[in-house]
Amino acid sequence: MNRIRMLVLAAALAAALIAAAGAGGRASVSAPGKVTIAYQPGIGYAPLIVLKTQHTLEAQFPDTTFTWKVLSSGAAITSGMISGDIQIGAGGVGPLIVGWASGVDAKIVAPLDWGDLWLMAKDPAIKTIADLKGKKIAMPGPTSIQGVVLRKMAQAKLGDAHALDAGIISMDHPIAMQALLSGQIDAHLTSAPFQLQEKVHGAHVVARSYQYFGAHSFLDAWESQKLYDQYPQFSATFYKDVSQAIDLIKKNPTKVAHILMDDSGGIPTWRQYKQWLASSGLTFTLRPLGLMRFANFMHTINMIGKMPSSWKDLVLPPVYAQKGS
Amino acid sequence: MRSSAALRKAILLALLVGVWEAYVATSHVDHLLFASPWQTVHAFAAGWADGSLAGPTWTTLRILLESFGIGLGVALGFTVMATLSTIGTDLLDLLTSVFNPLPGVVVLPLAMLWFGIDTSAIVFTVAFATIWPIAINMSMGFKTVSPTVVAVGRTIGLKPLRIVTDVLIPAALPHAVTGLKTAWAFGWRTMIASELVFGVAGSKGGLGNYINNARLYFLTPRIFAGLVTIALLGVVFESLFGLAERGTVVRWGMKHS
Repeated sequence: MNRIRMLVLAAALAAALIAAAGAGGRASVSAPGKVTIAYQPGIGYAPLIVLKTQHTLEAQFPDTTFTWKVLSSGAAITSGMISGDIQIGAGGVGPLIVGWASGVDAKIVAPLDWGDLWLMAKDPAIKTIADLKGKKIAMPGPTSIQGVVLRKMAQAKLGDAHALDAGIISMDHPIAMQALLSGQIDAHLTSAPFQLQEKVHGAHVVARSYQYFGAHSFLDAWESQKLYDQYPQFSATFYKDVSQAIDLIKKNPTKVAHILMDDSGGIPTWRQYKQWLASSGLTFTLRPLGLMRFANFMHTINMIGKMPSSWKDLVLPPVYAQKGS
Repeated sequence: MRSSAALRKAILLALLVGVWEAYVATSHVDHLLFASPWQTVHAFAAGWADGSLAGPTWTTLRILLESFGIGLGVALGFTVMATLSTIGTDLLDLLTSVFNPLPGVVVLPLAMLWFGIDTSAIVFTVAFATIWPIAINMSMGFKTVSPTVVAVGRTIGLKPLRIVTDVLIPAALPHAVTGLKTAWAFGWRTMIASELVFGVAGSKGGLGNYINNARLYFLTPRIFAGLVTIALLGVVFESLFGLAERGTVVRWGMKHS
């Protein structure tokens, strides 16, 4: 109760400060009246969870109603963006590029991180990609970044990008983790912290995405070009906020671990979160890396019908200054 | 009379398609949200030409037939039991009153636990959905058979099993056909719903999965093409059942067309 009152007080104070600054000559930034932000389970979304729990956006845009949602796949989020329910979505580069190629108006407004995605299996007999033929492999969906990574692994090791397609089972990561550990599925292509938890519970790493794509972007926050054109200032502020959240993760992981713990209702502990932040294979950064590598591969295996001419086709102006690829 | 009804329906259908086309042409609806009739026909034709619709259709029908066969077998077993003994009647009454109100797809989560994430979970779910309508209608048919006919059978010395096969089953046929029709409709709906929930991708998926996949790739015309395929199959099966009825119970004067 006390904490909520403190937060409200802090938010009110921040709002008052901003109002004062506005009165001091700065034009107030325009923002949409309602913004729904959707992300997915996983600590790769930590920068967004920081913004959510610190009420950073609410303090800067007091006239905007912010709603936060956790959905189970990037495809669900792009669908929500098409129907207009979601203004800012976040997910892996797979659904983003598939959406872009089909004409979905969604581009990266703020990259969140790079991430090494591990293909986990519990059965000790599954040692290589070849052992996965005819097995059930869970991931958020066939168009997820994990789906693209699996095709790359299949192409490299089995000579056919679609050799393992029949085994793909669409599941969100928390459920897939349970299914893997209880033996319902054979493998899980996932991300942090699920791959770390699975390892602790006796699963092993069969392959890592960095072995096939090199280091690469994992998660990004998206919004539509339309929204950006209407509210460039809002989008630039969002970018800056994500940048500050990333700085906080780097400078004060203990604090961020506490934030993540509070957000998940106290379980797991902040110590666990801190350890995950350090060993997750995640690099929190605003630099988009390897977008074109992914797009190129997706184009060669006919997952997408057209190619972006450069990585800048996939991002909005706030990201242009980054050394992207 | 019949041909003019068909003509009226054809005109209505053409009108509806016209409204649909006009809506897409004039409303500037996002092409990711809505496909025009022309795009749908195109996706439908392309899907059947390159086999990407034939595979899922065949998978769906194969699983449905398999499940329907199992459901029919189990239902027949229950009905025979119910006809031969009072305990059997009570058991069937109890089971149908408990299980028949359940929408078929609700047992899918349980089936996934029991059978794993596998086609057998769908087979179980669909078979479960088909058992009860068949069993209810068949036993209803058996119960409403004229006692005189059964008495005649007994008098000429038929054994209980022969009474079932030679007297009760033919006499109960109109009800049985109704049961099969209802069960098929239940099974068909449960099948598509299970596939949508299930999420097994790739070459093994059926029509529900085809539609879901089209959604993931934002190929809205393909979603429409999948829906058209499902609707057409529904019409085909409906008329097959109609033909079967006309060839049997209607011809024998047991039911009016």
